[in-house]
Parts: sequence; structure tokens; C-alpha cells
Amino acid sequence: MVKFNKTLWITIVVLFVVLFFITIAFLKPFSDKSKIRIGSVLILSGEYKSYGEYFQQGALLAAEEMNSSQKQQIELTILDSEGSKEKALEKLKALKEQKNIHFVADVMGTAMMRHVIPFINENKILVLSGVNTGPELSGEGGSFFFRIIPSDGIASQQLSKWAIESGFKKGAILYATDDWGQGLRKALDKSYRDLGGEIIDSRDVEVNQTIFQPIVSLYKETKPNVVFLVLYPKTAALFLREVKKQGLQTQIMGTDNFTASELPDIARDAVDGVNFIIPQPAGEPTPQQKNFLELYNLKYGIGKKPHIFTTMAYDCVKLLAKIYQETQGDPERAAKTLEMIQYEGASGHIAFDKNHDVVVKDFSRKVYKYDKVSKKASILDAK
Amino acid sequence: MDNLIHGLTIGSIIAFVAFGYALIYSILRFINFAHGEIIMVGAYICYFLYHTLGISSFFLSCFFAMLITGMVGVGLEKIAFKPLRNRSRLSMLLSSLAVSLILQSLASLIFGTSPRILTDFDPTITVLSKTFYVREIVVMIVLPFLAIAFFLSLKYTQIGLAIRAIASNQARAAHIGIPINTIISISFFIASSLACLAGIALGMEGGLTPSMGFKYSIWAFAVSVIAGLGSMKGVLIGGLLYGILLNYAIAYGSGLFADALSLVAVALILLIRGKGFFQIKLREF
Repeated sequence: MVKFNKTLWITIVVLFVVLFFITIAFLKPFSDKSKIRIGSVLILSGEYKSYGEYFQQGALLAAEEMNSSQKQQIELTILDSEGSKEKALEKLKALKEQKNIHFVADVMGTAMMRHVIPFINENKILVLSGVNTGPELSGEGGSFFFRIIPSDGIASQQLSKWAIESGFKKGAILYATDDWGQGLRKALDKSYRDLGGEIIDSRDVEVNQTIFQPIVSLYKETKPNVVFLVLYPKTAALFLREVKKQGLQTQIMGTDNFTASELPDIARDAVDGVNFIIPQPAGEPTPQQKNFLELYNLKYGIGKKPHIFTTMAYDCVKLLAKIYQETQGDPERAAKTLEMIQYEGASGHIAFDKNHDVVVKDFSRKVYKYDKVSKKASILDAK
Repeated sequence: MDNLIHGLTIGSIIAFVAFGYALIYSILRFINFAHGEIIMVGAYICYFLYHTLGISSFFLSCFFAMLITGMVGVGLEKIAFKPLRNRSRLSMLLSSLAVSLILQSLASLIFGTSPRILTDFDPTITVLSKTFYVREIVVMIVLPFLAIAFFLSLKYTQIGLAIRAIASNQARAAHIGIPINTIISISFFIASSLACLAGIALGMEGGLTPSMGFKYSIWAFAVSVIAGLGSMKGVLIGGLLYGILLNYAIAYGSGLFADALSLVAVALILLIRGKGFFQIKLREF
């Protein structure tokens, strides 16, 4: 008979402890099949966190709406990439490995998205983006990447068309030095020239640049009819202030990132008259848009207007949840289903082309108006 | 001509910050990397006084912010640098880096990372058909006054003589009864108050963020190295020249080119003239 002396007892206990930890470490995360698990990797800290917050608002709104009206609940996990490519990949891995999430409503930022493309395709993670506009993502995104926001290629055509229609045939481009800035600059350059415009100056602007006096002085000499600003809101605002200060008479045009509140906050009266386009249909709102606006106002305040990224996030989460239910959470089947989808969302009609880009939606032309009495800027439909 | 004039306004702000680097270096012989964050701290203090405490006058808020920032600078010296004075310079340098990170994190925690607007009040003035912001003119006027006052005080006042004595030989200065700690505190107070002024000027232009001082601190550091570490005359001239150079680099190159310029200039100066152009010559006593 074996004698249970002290050493043997200690050995058994240690073995149990070791086995316990090994089991924990290798145990696959418990997956609750009754829930629709959706993840998001957003920029929620740093200078561009407002974009992440806008998106988060829409994602939460969609999840809350669906959870209140259906049995199968949405479990939304939102992580912060801090605007870093490496961290975006790390967080996406965490979503997959710790939560077994294969449906992702955006990896925010074109640079971040491009960095995670090999991972999403190797691991069959379906990403539906509502904010990434980099033209490189068309095709490069692979089988599991879709986006409901038009690529910069499309946005640049719309912006160029507006400029040319307004008689602005001599343009200049100021662009941010990152992936998004360079991508949109190339697309704008091409589409504007294709329509008969001439780009007389195209120069990069460092992301946190604060000095714009030399550039505005140069524009006073070269006199472009239009300056396309492919800049982040804070940098764009500083440029606008310099334009106002030096009295440069030229039209300023931009894209959807001009909807961020930092632009009018910093530019103040210099924002008056700035034109930009957003991928939202003009005209009477559809029932889906009305419903979204009601929900938004109920949660975030009556009379407030949702940011374009909030609208996109709302559609991303609702569409992903719908596809998840239809395919029982199988990302391969979900990707095939998305390729054929015809969906009416708050951002308009959603269908995808062969590159998984949203089939072109209408763009709205907008203009900033600054009220000198209330000292507030508002966004109006441009004539 | 436009680039020249605007270069002087940018250069004045850089000179203010670089002046702080030089002053601290001349008496403690270390580069205070936390000085860049003092720009941000000063601007946020002004924001707090004006918006949170509701001081009705913006100018009064600026004045108090300069005083408080000066005291913050003195406090930081007492906590982070004084205990390390007798250790290697590397430990003070590392301590300044730690202070820099802590200040930035604290600002992020308290005020968040989204830009805060310091004031809507940012009037312009037109001089000889050129438009300037009043703050640019203020900075440009204050700088030469400050420079003259500072150099006169260095030469003709007790405190000035004490600073020069400490810069020359701290041990001997202590031996003849110069109150080392008080003079160091005064130097930190002056350097921090000036950084606050630079911070307010920058904050009025582009809003307040926890990283707002970073770029100017890099430029000011580059100017300090180019001018010669510790040379106050050098950083004032160097700051102005650097501002002009930056403006031309942006006009005829690009934003990235202008940024690279500072690093290339530092590397070249270190290679050609190791101790900068305005090397301080102090007589031992």
C-alpha cells in the first residue's frame, strides 16, 4: 500500500495546480452561440479619437435597437487601436482569440485596415467598414473586406465634378502625408485633370503642421481658383485661419472629414463658405433614415444631427447582425451573402461591386455658414 | 518678404522656448526635456483660469497663468531635479524625460486629447498692408525687450551676477555665499513663465492638446544645439533665424522637408562645429 507522506501530498497538489493552469491556458474561449458577437477596432484615444467616438455612438445605437426588439442579442466588443497599425492588429487578434469574434464592424483608419488585411483573410474574419476610404483597399482588401463608404476614388470624382461645374479650372492640393492623404491626393489629381482641370500646386502637409503662412502667400501669387484640402480637421482649420488672415480669395473644398467638430471649433469664422461633399443622398429622407434620426435624437439629444460615421456605424452593425443570423455566424457564407446583398440602410441603398466597394451612392454637396452673432457654424446644403 | 516677417514671428516663439533650455542648461548643465511640456502646462493653466474659474479678463488669466506656471516649474525642480543634483547628469536627464511623460499623461487624463479652444478673442492688426494677429506682434515685441532686460540684468544686477557665477562654477559660487537654490528656483521660474507665454500664443492659434508643445520643443532643442548649449544670446538669434528658415523650407519644399531640416541641421552642426555657433565662454573665478 502506498504511504501518503508529506512529499507525496505536496507533489500531488503541485501537479493539480499545474494541470489546472495548463487546462485554463489551452481552453478555447467559451462561445455562447445564442449571441451575435460583433467586434470593432476603433481609434478611441489620441487626436483623432472623435472619429472613433462618432462611430461608437452609431454602433451602440444599432446594438441597443436590435437587442430591444429581437431574441438573439448582439454582444458588441469595442477595442481601441490608439491609431497604431500594430495595436490594431493586436486588438483584432484579441477579438478572435479571446472572444472568438469573426464579424467586425470596422478596423478604423485606412493604414490600420491595410495592415490587418492578411490576418483577416487568413483567419476568415469578415470586416465591414464604414469609414475607410483609401482607394488601395478596392481589390486589395480580399474576400473578407467590404465597405459601405465610397472609396476616395469615387469621392474625388464627385469633388472634381463640383469644382469644374463651378468654373474652378485651376486647382491646388494640400494633402496629409499618411496613407489616406496620399491616396486621396492621387485620386483627386487624376479625376480633376480628367475633367479638364489643371493642378498648379500639390504639396504635402505634415500631420501636426502649424505653419501655413508660406503656403497661403504662395497661393496669393499663383492664384488657384480652388484649393482641395486633404487634411485632418485641426490642420485644415489652421490653414483656413491663415487664408482668412491673409485675405486669400479662393474656394476651399474638402471631403467628409470636414464634418468633424474640430474644424469649425478651431477655424471659427474662417470656416464660412468652405465646401465639402459627404456620401449621403440628398432630398427627402427615406423611412430608414427617419427611423435612425429618431433613435439618434432620443439617445443623444433632440435636434442634434448625427455625424456621417455614426450613420455608417449604425448600418455596419445592423447589416453584420442580419448576415450573421442568416448564415449562423459562418464568415465564408456571410461574405458570399454580402456580395449579393441589396439593403436599405440609414446611409442609403447598400450593394457591393466586384471589389466589395459599395455601389456608388449619391453624394450631398455641403457648405459651412458662420453666424457672427451666435458665433456658431452650421452645415447647409450647397446650392 | 512675407516669409521673412512671418519667420520672425514663429522664430520668436521658438526663441522663447529655446531660451528656457539655455537658461536651465547654463546653471545646471543638463537638458531639461520636460521644458517642452511646460508650454502645454502653461496654456492649460490659462485655459483653466479663464474657462473653469471664470476670470473675466483674458489678459489677467494670461498674467496669472505665467505666475502659476513659473511656480510649477520651481516645484518640478524641487521634486524631480534637486534630489539628483549631486548625481550624474544622465539621471537628471532621465528624470526630465519622466516628468515630460507624466505631464502629458496628466493633461490627457484631466482635459482629454480633443483640442480645447483657449479663446475666441484673437484680433488681427494690419501694418503696412500686412495682416498679423496681435499675439504675433506681442511675442515679437516682448522678445527683444526681454532679451535686453535679461542681458542688462545679467550684467548689472545681483541676481544676474549670481546666475553667471553659478553658471561658471557652482561649488565656488556656493562657497562665497551665493544662495544656489534660490537662484536655480528663480531661473526655473523665468524659463517656465516664458514657456507659458509661448504656450498661450500657440494655444490661441491652434487650440490646446496634450502634445501641443512637442514640435516647438523639438525645434527649440535644435536651436539650442545649433546655437551652442547654454548660450542665451545664441538661442535668441538662432531662434529667429530658424523661424525664417522653417518658413522658406515650407514655402519651397514641404512640411516633411521642414521637419527633417531641424534634424539635419543638428546633425550637421554637431559634425562641423561640435559645440554650436555661440559657444559660451565663461571665465573661471
